[in-house]
Amino acid sequence: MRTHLTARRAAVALAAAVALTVPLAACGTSSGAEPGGTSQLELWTFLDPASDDARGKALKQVVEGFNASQDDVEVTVRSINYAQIDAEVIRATSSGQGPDILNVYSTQLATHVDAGTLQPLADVAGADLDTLKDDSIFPFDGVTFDGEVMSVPWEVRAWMLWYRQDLLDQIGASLPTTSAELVDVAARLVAETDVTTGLAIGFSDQGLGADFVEKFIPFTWANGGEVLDGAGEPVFADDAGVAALGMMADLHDAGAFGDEALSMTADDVVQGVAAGTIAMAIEGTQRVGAARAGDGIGDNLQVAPAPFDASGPLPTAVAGQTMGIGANSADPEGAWKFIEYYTSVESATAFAEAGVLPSRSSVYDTDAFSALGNADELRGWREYIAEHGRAEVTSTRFNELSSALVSAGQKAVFQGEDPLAALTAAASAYGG
Amino acid sequence: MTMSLTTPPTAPPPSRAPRPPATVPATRRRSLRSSRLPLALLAPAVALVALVSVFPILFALNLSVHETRYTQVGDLVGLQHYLSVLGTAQGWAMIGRSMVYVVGSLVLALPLAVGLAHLLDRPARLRRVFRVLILMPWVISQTVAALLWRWLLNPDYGPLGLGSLGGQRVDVLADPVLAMVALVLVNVWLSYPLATILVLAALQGVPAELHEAAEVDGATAFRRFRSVTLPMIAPTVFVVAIMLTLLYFNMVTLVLTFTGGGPFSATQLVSLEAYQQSFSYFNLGLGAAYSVILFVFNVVFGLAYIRMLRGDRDV
Repeated sequence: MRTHLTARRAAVALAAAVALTVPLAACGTSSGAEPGGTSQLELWTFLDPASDDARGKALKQVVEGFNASQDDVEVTVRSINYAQIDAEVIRATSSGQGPDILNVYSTQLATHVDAGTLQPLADVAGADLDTLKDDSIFPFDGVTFDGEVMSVPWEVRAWMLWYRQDLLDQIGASLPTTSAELVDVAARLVAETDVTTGLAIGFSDQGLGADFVEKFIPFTWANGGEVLDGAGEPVFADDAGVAALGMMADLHDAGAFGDEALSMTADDVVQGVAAGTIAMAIEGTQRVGAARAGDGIGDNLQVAPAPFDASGPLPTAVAGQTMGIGANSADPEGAWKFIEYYTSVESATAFAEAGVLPSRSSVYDTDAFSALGNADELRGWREYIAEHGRAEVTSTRFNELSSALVSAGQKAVFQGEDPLAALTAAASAYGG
Repeated sequence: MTMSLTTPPTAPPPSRAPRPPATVPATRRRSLRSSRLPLALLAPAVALVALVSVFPILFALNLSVHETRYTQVGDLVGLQHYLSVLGTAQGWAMIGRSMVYVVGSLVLALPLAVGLAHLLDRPARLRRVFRVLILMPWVISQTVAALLWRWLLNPDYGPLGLGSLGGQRVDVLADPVLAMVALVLVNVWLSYPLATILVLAALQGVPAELHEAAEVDGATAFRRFRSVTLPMIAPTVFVVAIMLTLLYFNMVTLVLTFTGGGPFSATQLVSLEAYQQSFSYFNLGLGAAYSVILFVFNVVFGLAYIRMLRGDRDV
């Protein structure tokens, strides 16, 4: 009788263990093939296909189009906040639960490659990669590490001068063509109109100083300097870096922006433009659509290359969203199949309708693209990128670089600290 | 014939018959079994607590003395991470700012909570409505609170923005001192409801007879509060102080969203640095060292409160 009871208990315990283990095992599965042969792949991205955002809707359209186009692979989307996605991917990949396909912003790409979250594309992409490379206006140097292409750009962005044409008309000014004119017009906009800020640069520590760095890098390039050398060591603490901070200090001293810039992030700048409190800014092309949606803004907001001197405009960093295959992916071929579809001319056109600047040059020549209301403007941006664009600075510690630089910028521009000393301290903090 | 209800002592009952020597170890076994049973029953709970509480602390301690590369643990570096914090002026400045933040918030939140709880404990019309209103900030997340107050304090369009004072534009979040003051005030706004509700619960446990007796003896309202109410609620106030101290030392979301540590690093606290080193810069070892330093502060403050509470009881 006792033996019978023990056997029954053991059977119940085994059943319970199986019942607990099966769902846990299911939780741990990130991808795999269903009995029917369909490979289930997961894409991790900051876009949300369920949102009202135009890019989210375009993503939904592209993913559904891909799933309907073939029976071998089915892609599902996991949306993660853009501020958290990199850390999430790195943590998940280290425990073998990383995504099959992942979206990476180009400045974070070096960190992802260093952390081993991506696998090289050459093996699965083959010659297709060369086709994409030849057609890309995004410099492929920015996605190539140790000779291996690690992801494919699908979106490109540049930093250009946003200005309110109605406000320039109000003060009788024309579009500035040099940095000196820019300072003068920005100061006049504050003095002669109702705006609070003539030209905004976000110096906030929030977002690790991203808005500041997006200006500091092209300002340094324009003055003949570099931010990092070929070995990734900081070289910005020189005359060019000082001149870059000097340009910002000139704007501050002339009244183009005040202390309010200390608490501004890129989001705040865009919202300020949309709200009409900021007259000009140097911001990314990907945000123009959002700013134009502001009440009474619309086409009053115009975009042009940021001025520098008589020889030409300010160079721009070129960055963008890229798509790669996760290191944990069990089906790299299936993942590449999706990336091919995602970066196709058709998909790029769908994203262009959502205000995204396509990374593929051939997209701009299609009839579908020409039919877009903003096709000419987007082509103008493409030409600026082609002539004056450089791949954004990449570093495995880009966040630390950004954080150190904004600290130097705050001290030099707002507290009057010697710019060279501030930059040297930033280089030391980053290098250390 | 009479029947005896007692058994003659000379004739032991069969059940009391001497047992073979083997019965002694059996008793001991029963005793051992009975002493092991509670331990066996406690073991799963102890294991669970160790897993969820002790293991992460030990893991963080281990991380803090190792070089790390993303999530990979590398070579032992001893106290190098601690030295980079405690051996630098910036590290101590950060600790100092955390102290200002924690102590400043406590100094405001605790008296406010005691005062409000005292008011809410008194019979008044619409008392329940006031209670709900006062507790409302508690249900707001730190992220929402930070964004809400950023908007409220904006000098251009915020309803509470100072705008221009004396011809000078005042942007609270652009001034190092004002930013810290604003951060403390928002933190107090967010956390006083929790303290208030706990103190209110303690107040409701104070017997009315004590107040009545003190009143009969001629004690003023202030004297009654100082000599009757305060000693009765002191244990709760100390517990609330411990809870708030832990909450404030470890706070990241509010600081990150409200000021991001700026301007000029004026609100860069140890907790924020621990978060950024770990999850923005992926320096898990250094981030763990900051976390351990925070842990030590929490333990020291907690022990100090407990000591004060015991001293108070002894008196």
